Amino acid sequence: MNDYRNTMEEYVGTAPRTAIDVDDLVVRGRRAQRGRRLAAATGGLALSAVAALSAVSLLGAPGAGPQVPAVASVAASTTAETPDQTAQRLLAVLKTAISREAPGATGLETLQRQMHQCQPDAVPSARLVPYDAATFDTACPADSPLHQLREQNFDWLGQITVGDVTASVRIHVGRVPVIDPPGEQPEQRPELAGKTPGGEGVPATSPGVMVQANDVVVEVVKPDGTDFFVGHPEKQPLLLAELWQAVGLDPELHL
Amino acid sequence: MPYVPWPETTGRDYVKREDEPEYREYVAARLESLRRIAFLLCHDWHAADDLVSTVLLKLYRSWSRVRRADNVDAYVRGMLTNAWLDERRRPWRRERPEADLPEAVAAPVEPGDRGAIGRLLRGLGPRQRAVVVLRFYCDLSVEQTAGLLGISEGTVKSQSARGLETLRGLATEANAEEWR
Repeated sequence: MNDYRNTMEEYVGTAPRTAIDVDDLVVRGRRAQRGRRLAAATGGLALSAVAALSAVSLLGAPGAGPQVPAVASVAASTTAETPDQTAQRLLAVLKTAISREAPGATGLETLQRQMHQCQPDAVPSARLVPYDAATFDTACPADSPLHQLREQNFDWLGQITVGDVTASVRIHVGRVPVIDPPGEQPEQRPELAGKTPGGEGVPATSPGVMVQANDVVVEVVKPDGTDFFVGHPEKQPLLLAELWQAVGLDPELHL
Repeated sequence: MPYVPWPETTGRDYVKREDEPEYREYVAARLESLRRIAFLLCHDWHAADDLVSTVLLKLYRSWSRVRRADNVDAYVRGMLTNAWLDERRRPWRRERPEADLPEAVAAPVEPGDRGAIGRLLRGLGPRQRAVVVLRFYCDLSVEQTAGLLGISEGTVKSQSARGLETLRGLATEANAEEWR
């Protein structure tokens, strides 16, 4: 044992008793495995339908006239947007994608934009509060990290119902946070995407797109740095995960 | 031959029932050491146990594949560290910017202060903290650490340099105390 490890062992000290139970892990693992098998069995049909619809939209109906290149619409939609315009565009894209992926879904009107409460001098953590245009720019100094965070990250809370299932969700679209020197994040190095040990990587449908999903979150990271994330507001198990994954993969959903 | 920490995969992972006893044995044998590593990353036992639970569930799913890895322990430690880094990136982690800001600057380490190592680790950025724990607590090589975290060996060396310097000072102090 090296000296550094000794020092760290001393810091960790005696571990308290844990509630982690192997039997419980196995039961939960089996349950999740059954769910994935069911999803794989039913998801193939859904993906085929999505692929067919995508092919139709890309190729266009016969005689429908020339299609506007997707790239052109992307460039036009993001030119010189204010944060408010970006938020409105993203919400419209989200609603369209949800309706397309889950026809008959209700509760879209419950999606309410949130913002981080700005309290420059307060010690308590910033929390999400309903968006208020009147106060958005007043409390937060323009050069503060929180101001920048609010300019580049957009959140909505709501309850979406599909069939008998109602999912409480927090939907987030923002910039991939940089927590370390640039260029070392796996998502910024496409050759590493999907190779993260233990990552719940899902085969990406487009080059450079990284999809991750587990019991509580679905996350799609795109090559342009857009981070789409859906989780339960209280960090409970996320419902309708397949829907959120499909929504996140919508090419129109980008900053 | 380069170090390849992740075993080959040919598609979705499904655990066979006959593999479960081996999984149970592995978890029982490694649970405490994984909790200790998680604590060094999280500095909170509740968060550490949540992290370990999440990783062991992932491990269950991929056990049939992971058990074939050259170094299962190193692979699982990589899973643990990456799961923690992943959690750090979640939007809800960004909701405490004021609280997180002090982590950018490490508090000065005072000789003989047993809590200094905790302050040192908390003062490191997430990936640097992960590097220090994998290198100096888990005794992984630069090559292994780089492979598990998906970063270059040069980055591992540079990110561990500052931690090494401070840890060396702490270890020297501890040894001196033992001889007094």
